[in-house]
Amino acid sequence: MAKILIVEDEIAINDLLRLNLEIIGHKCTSVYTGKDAIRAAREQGFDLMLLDVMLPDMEGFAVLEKVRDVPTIFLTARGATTDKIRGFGLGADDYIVKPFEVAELLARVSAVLRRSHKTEEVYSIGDLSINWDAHEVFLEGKRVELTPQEFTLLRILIEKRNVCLSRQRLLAEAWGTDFLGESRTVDVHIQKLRKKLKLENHIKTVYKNGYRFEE
Amino acid sequence: MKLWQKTYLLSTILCALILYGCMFSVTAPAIASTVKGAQAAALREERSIARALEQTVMEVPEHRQTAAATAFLGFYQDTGLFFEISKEQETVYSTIPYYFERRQGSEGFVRMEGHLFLFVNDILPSGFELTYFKGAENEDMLLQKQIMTAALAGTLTAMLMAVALYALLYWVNLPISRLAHEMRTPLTAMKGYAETIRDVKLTEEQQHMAASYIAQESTRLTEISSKLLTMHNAKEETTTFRPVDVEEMFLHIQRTYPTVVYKVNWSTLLGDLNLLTSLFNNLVDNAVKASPEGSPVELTADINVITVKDHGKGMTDEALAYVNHPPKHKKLHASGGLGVPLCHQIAKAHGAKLSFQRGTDGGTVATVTFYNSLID
Repeated sequence: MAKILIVEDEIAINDLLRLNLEIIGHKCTSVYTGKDAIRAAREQGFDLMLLDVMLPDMEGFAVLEKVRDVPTIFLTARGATTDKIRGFGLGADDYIVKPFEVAELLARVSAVLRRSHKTEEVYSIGDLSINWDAHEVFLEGKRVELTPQEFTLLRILIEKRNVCLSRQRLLAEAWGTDFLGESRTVDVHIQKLRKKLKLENHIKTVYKNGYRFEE
Repeated sequence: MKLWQKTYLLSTILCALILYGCMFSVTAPAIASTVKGAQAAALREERSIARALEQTVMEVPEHRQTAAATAFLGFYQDTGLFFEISKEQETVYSTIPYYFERRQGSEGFVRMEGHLFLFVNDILPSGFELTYFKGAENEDMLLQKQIMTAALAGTLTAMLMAVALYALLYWVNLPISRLAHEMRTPLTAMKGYAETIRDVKLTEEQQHMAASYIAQESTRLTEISSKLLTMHNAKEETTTFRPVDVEEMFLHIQRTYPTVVYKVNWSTLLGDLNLLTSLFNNLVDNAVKASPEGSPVELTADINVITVKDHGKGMTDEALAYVNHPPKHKKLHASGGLGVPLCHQIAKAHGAKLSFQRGTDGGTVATVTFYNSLID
């Protein structure tokens, strides 16, 4: 999975980001100052940087100016539009306003990684292997036909493995926020995925909450 | 620009204007006396010269008068004094280095090519018109010095005031926005860890870490909230004490708690009606809750002492110790609520003391002893 640099001076939040990103399989490096962030980004390559705007030694924007080649999501506590405009002007890929929802953060991380083609090409678990770019799914060596909707749902579940996703969130991410579907729609598609790909042991129902892909 | 910065700018400009106004009114008399003094001196000198000139002129026949006057004034060459004499509107003699229009019978200052001069114009009995003209460099310097000093002092004071005002406003206004900002971090962490615990299959160790962070960050939030509270208190004006009608206050309480029986031997005390009503409402509320159904709660006011007595079971030693000295930073019991610490605070604000004792026949007596609320 992706190599992610977390630049956040608040240890509690830094740990929170790392905990959630590592659970879905990313490799994380935590730094707490702008200086360390610039050094780390120069010494090692990262697929993504999560950057706090308010760092003790410098503004996050200053880090962004020095580290141009790493896709960046900046974290801002201020809801100020000027911050967002400034961040995008400097080439940031997305922003998240504190306090954020963990699920939203993960969704944005996945989206940025997908856009910059930093996601893994093939994912395999047991007899199942999925080629994301080719949109092909193989079970026990045989190709399985999935509808585009089922494929998207599967990708979201696997991208956020080990995290419980509510039906609302799955609807919003796989069907889009404009889709006026019921949460039953999600249930039906999940059933189909489980059956077609023999994922009964991996796609778990979380009581009263949603679904979780467990490896 | 923030509202307080606008307010600051406006008030600074206004204050500076007022300050300059004050400076001017303080300096104006000094400047006026300098001007007057110089004019008086010039007038005196001119008068004595004019007298001497008149004498000289009168001593000679009329056709030689002009020559005599010219000769007399010739003595004043190189003294810094200049003169002009005219007769029947005709200038007959002049040493004034500038073109200067005569102003009959007047005196004052005139600026010629950047130099300040004093002039006095006078008509002598002999018919000569004398104009006295004198360089006023010293007076000029003095005047300029006075104006400069006033302007400098005004500017310095205005600057000092502006800086002090800005610092004060900055201190008063900024912390709130900063604290509001500071609250976001613990909130983000708490929300995030709670969601993580809810949504993610965590190991026991990870669960422990998440829960610890939630606990740690909520402590931080508590600290921020108490900081905000302190700031709020500091900003509020101090409570104003007025005479409070004790019986009226008790009646008000009795309307809420019908089992209250009251006795008033202290008709008025000095305090804040709202705070005191809140205090006794709290105490009576506790007493009513502790009393058996329908049993009276006695509310008694004697000079400097007000007591609330119930006939309940009474409190344990531990509970008594707790309500007498509620721990300041400990989490309060759900049942204890905010009531008792608040009561202590209100008493303290009145310079009074609140204490709870066991009653002689069981039950609890809450006593508020006042020290500064007696009206002579």
